Amino acid sequence: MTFLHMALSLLLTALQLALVLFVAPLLNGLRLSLSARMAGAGAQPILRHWFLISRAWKIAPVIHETDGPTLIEQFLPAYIGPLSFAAALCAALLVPAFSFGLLTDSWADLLLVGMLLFAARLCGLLPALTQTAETATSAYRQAVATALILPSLFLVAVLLFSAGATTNLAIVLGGLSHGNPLADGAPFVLGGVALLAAVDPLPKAETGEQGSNDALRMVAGDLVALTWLTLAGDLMWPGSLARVGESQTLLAGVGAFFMGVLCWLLRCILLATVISAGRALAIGPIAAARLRGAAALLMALLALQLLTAARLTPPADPEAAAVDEGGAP
Amino acid sequence: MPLVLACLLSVTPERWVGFPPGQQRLASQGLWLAAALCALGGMPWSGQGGDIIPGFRADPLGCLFFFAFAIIGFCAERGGRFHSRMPLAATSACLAALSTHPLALTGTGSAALVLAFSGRQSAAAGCLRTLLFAAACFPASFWTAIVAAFVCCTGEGRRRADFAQAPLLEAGCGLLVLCRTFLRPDCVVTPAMMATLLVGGVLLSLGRLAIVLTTSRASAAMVGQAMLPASFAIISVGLIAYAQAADSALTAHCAAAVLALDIVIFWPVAAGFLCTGAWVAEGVGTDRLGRLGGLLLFAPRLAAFLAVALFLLTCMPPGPGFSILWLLVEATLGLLADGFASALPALVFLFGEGAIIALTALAALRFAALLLLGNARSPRMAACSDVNWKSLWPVAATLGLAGLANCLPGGLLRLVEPVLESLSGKKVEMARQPWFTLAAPDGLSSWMPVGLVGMLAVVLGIVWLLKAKLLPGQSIVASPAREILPSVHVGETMPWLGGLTTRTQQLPFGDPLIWSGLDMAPTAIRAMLLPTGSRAKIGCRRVAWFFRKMLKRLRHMITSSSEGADYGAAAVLALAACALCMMAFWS
Repeated sequence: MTFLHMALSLLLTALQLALVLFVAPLLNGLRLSLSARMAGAGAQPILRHWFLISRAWKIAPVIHETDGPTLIEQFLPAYIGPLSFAAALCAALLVPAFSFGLLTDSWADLLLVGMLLFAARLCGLLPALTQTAETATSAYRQAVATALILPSLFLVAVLLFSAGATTNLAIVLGGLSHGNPLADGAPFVLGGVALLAAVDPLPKAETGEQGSNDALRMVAGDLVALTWLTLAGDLMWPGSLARVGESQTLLAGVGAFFMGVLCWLLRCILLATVISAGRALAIGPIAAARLRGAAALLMALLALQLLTAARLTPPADPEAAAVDEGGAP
Repeated sequence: MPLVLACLLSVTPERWVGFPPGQQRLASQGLWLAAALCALGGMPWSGQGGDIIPGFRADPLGCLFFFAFAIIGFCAERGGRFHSRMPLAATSACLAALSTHPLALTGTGSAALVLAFSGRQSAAAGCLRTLLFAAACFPASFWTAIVAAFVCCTGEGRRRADFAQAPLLEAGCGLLVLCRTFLRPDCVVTPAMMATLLVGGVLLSLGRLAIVLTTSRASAAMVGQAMLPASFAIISVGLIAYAQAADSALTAHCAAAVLALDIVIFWPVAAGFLCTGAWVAEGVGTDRLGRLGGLLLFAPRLAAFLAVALFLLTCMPPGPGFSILWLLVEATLGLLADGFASALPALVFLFGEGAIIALTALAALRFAALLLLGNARSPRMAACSDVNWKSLWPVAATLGLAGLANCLPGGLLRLVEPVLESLSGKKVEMARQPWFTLAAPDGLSSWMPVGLVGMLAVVLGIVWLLKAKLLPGQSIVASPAREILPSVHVGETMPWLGGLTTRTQQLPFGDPLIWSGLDMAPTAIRAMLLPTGSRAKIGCRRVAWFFRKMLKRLRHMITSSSEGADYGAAAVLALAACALCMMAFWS
């Protein structure tokens, strides 16, 4: 790797970092707004989520000298918030969002990304677990709903391995160049749908949190959702990922970069809209979680079956077909 | 030599040696650690010399298990308790690891298992484990070793803190005899045996985790969590056999690496976790999970170590558990067959692995919510005191050792290369792995723990800097007097009180808040997984009624035969001896 390549990788990684941090709260604001519209409630402005995060970040955490549970509740986010944020940000940097050639390409393993996102999500639930029974049980139920998707992730790893003989995202996505999502790309579209089930549903009403640690926790939640959406979009449409490093001229490279960013934003918005449309279905949280788990499992299995069926089908012989057509009366 | 010295120091009263108070324990622990590190460091040269003494030889596999048992001895050494038999049991297990003759293996291993009995109540199960272990030590079918390994891995948690490491020691003995039998030249491994190892390993984990998620006993929850390395080791033995049958040398090498890394970097985490568990059991004075809570308030140092060990056991990156899991999945993917139908067993196996990881995380959350978070649920818990650094240094050392070794997985695999060669059966000619990276058999996937640790550290450092520079400091605010009712405080009087003043609560822990209970986790999981329709409810009720009836009958039978219950161990011994005689007769 030349110095130029390394500098380009560093630049692309830094750009992805900045874009991901900027887009994640915006996308969650969009999801909140769309979900509220779908549920028939008043929609909040898209930028309100950003505003809440920035307001919470500026507030210094206050420690109340009070009894035990409140004390744990107050000092736990000081550790949990940064940890959850760091895990989510690392996962977001490992997934190619709009371009190949990142500095982290060789570490981008699907299992690693999935487990980092899972860890970030569980860390975010810990402060709620220290509260009284109702809040703690609700948080634990969310953890169960998240854990329900995890076994399906292993099946998606099998899908990746069957396609590229590795679980490295950059290598597999680089090798995928299916044009038609209804033909040779169908298994990967189904795999992407299976990953969409991992995006957590948003709360019906958003409350402003207090303190920088809570702000970090909110951003971590947004990053987790964005990374799942990006991963699903990558699998569904790998052709949208730009190859900036392979561009011949500087101008072509800049054009490819902007096109990659545009495609990434478009597919993220589209997938967020699809997920928000699910709020129109009036089902309870437990049924919704069960539905997501079952959908992820079925989609992953169907994707694997389609992939193996496509491989086992003998290729059509055009010469034999022509002879048959010519010999027919 | 360090082993003998450590054992001698463990069993000798302090007044005989003349060390200052507490120093003898530190010396003994240091010797245990030195013995473990010597076994690990001497692995490249193992197997080159002859027998140390007749029947005992430092071969690569023996060194690997010697390390595991020495770590158990290191964590089991709790000074001032000379009635504890665990250091002696660990010594005997270390000798068993080095035994090459069946008689020596039987004697030392059985002695270790017998010394790990904590009392008469569980003696029958212990006797059964010991006898199965003894039966598997002699040349027989591989089935005997498989059954012995599974039975040894089902050891239950002891209430006595001194015996906290006993289930891990029993599991280690079972794994030792499984690996020794597997390496015998005359050992025939059939596909049914491989399937039993793989499916049994997954089911063992799932069963253990089901117990952790529903139990009301802290010792059972801790042991269930700590048995994950044992399950992974059994699964890896099955994968080695499967890869050898498929004639895939690279995958067999990778599966052997899973076993070796599991023992070297994941086993110490389990031992450290059980060690903290022992201190918790001693501090809180009860084994009931429902009476614990708020450990972070009363013993922050102990709670911090427990939380770290619990996190490392959940297989989350960048911990050692994730390295094992990643390599296990890659080895399974390396054996993936073409076609959906032929790949279905592998898919089910991988789905089971995913379920194990999900349940492990949920079990850890439940344990943390009940023990670490919330507030004390009993006055005894509120009186729990913290543990000093000297007592916790074995935990710090084991966790640090595991963390450090996890950052150098490639280097560690170079160190244990003789074990990999002996387990996989062939010397694999492949490029030497980089020091900091684990490479999959496909040659394309890799995992670098130190890279992720670096990324996390950079992000955390930047966040810390931003918070320190940009934000104002924390402010501590004294809370106002507790409200009795809105706008009514302690010491005030109101017209309807007839001149009486309001008083503080009479309850020791303030308001009667309702904390999450033992049923939080099972209820949430059941609600999510099981159907809730009226027909399903009736079906579930019928099944539950049937099981209750069966349990009642069983209990009645046991109660009616209480005279013979005390002799259960003897009955099991006699039955097993008969079985052994019959096996010997037929063989």
